[in-house]
Amino acid sequence: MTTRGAASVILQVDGISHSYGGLQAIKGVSLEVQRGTFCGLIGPNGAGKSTLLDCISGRIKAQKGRVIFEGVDISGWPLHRTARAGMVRTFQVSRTFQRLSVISDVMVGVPNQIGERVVPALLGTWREDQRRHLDGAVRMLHRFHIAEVAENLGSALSGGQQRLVELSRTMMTHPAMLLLDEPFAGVSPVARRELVAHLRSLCQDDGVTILMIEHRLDLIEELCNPIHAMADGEVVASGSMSELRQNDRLISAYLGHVDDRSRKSQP
Amino acid sequence: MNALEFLVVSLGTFAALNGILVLGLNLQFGSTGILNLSYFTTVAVGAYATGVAELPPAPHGGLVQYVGGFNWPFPMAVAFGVVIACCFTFVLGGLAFLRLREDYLGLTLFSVQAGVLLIVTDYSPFLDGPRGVQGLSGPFQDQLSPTGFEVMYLGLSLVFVVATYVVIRNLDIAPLGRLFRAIREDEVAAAAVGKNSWRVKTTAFLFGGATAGLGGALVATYTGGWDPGAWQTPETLILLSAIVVGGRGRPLGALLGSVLLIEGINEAGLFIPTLGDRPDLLPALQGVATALALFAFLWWRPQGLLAERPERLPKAAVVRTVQPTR
Amino acid sequence: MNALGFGLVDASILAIAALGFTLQFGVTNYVNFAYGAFLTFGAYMALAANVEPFHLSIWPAMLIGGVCTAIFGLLLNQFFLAPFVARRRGLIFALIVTFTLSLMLGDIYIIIWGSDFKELDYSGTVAHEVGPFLWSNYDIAFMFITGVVLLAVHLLLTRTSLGRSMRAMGDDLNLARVCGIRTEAVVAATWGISAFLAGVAGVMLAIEQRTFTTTLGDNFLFLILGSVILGGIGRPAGAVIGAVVIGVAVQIGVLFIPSGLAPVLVFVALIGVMLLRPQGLMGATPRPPGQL
Repeated sequence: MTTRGAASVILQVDGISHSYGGLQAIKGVSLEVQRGTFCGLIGPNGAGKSTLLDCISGRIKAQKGRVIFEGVDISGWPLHRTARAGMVRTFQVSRTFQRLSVISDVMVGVPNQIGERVVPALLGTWREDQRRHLDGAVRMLHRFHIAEVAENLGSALSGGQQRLVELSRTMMTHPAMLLLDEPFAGVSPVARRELVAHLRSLCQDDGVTILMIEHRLDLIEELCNPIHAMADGEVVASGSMSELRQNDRLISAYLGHVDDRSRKSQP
Repeated sequence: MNALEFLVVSLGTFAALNGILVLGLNLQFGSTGILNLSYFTTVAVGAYATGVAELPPAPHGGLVQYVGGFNWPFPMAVAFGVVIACCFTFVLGGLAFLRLREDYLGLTLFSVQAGVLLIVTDYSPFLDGPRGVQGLSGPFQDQLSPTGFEVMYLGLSLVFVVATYVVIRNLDIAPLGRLFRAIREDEVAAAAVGKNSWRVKTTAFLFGGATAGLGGALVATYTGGWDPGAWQTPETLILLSAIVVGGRGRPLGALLGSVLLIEGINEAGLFIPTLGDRPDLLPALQGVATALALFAFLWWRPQGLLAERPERLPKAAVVRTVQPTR
Repeated sequence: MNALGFGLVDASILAIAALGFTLQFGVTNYVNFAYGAFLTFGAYMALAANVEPFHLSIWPAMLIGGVCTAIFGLLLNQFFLAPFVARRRGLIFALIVTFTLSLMLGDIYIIIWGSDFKELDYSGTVAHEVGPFLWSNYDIAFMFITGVVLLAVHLLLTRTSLGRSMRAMGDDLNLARVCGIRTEAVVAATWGISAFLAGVAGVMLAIEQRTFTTTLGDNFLFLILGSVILGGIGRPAGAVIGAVVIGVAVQIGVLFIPSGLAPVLVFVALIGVMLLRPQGLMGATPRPPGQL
């Protein structure tokens, strides 16, 4: 985690374009993310949100455009390199290590472990270092209220628990920025409230900048400002929820995709 | 030493040597998830390299032909075998881990072992084709009696297998071992938290390759030679079965599987009288038995006899989970 | 020139074999390492029909070889492969299973037929000069059969609903299911077709090599894999193109390099493909690797 200078823009995306075969998934997307904000990324299915996230995080190498993170041009960097630079992400379907225990899973997230290098591994000089990291991991499990499943295997977790394990692992890297891909998908109403509190705490207490893709506009409205809206591979509007509600182009893009519950109160 | 004692000693030696081989494949496949169908090719590389290092140069125009021929002593020759096996593994890994789809990895490794076997068998100037390298010897073979040599080699193999086990186990229980397994389970998730999967896989691959080379070198100097007949795809199957049956990912499990399967099936074979005019029948039956064991375990108990143990919280941390700090 | 001619003959056999391989991969999305054993099976079935005990002529024997292998493939899938894939989802399991199967089948062949060399019974070959090429009557027959097979497969894939289903599954399994395709049935049929082609190719190979043993198909598998990787795995057209390239390249290549080093040419092709264009000349099927 680096608190670099006073730069208020932590992420700058410049003219990113990418196509799959003949299909243009995103064209010329540009946006900025201010440090410490909780941004939303919305749009109907096929708008290119996930592709954009993949291009930013490095899972895909964008065909055109640049990504600048913390002042460094990270265009074309692979996933593991952007992660080490301080930008980590989660996935639409939570990824946990099926045959590892939760504590093991979360410990994978710890960067720069002495025991991950060959010579210390052979000599066994990593134990002290591991103890410290293990303490940190246990604290992380407590923070997300999953300490009781610490010794369960990844395959034995519920969907909500998997999300939290993935989040814990990701947070072990002490990232400057977190990219979330539909973190609320498949999460029960009760777990949803808890997850909202966790995410808000990450942003407010830990100062992590968050960019979140979500379909549930009520959650977006509750957590995010500003919100970027995409349709047909482009960013069509940016702003607060009330500003976006008045955007004609966005409304027409959403026609048929609107989640009406964003207008009503929560059940 | 009478025949029975000889049998026991040589079985013990083979058990130890197979143990070395199976530990290497277990590191690559069991722990890290790389289905290296070219593993036995790597073993052969180690064997051949040791052979051409130990043997004197091939006489010009003679019937026997092979490259190399450095006339080195045993330790140097074995070291050479390990080094060449590592080089081969590195090239193989470089080719195979080129961001290929998972299925291409299996395909590539299979093709390599098939192709290399064809070349080595058919192109005699390289490694004497079907005859292979012969006339290898272990340390002090000239000075010892046959009995003495057998006993010495048993001791030597045990030393090596224990040393290999210690090295591999150290890797396994360290955070590096956890990293191997994480890459095996989900490469992308590991990359998303900053782990370089190429480096991790190559590390596991190289250690496994070195082990393979060592095993090959020792088997070749023990049996006196190496030829394509000693090395074919069936051998990879035996090692694979040992890992699946014994305990996938767990070094001790791999050793257990190796003893049970290889020694069990081998030993059973020795007690069945040679079936008349069909000397090929017994190995074939053994092969079928090994395959059936593998299928049975894959179907009913894929984790093997000694399953991998998931990481637990250390005692101190357990106490703390009972009294949460928040 | 003769080398080119021989190369085309080799390519014909290779094309049929590669086609069967790639069709099956396109539908099931996992590699069948036991494919070589299918070729061998066809040869042994033809042997039974042709030599002992039925003494049929070689051409019906070839057909019988193909049909028997098809049945074998169908049964293998029905009672072994499909259940395994359903129970242990995961590409690695499928690969281990087919790899193990290839070795087990080889051993079973030894148990049943022994490891001595066998020979099919067919009447003398007659050499013909066709333009600049020198072909035997069997060579010409093989190329003709290959042409017929290619046409038949092409019609199958483009004109029948089975063929369309096969192509759809090659693109995306879940989408195919959603569209109402009965995927288990298509998989079964594909195994039958793939095995049939393998059996026929195996008989051809046995004729061309004159004598054969239980490892007939295994050695050929290397060339088959080279062809399909070169052409684009899962793509029938790619398999044929790859087969032609490999078949001709090997025959011409051995004019310049020792025949024992012929596999090196295939390696060069493979490495070239991996480095420059991993999806092969025609591009691989889009279905993601883990999707079984």
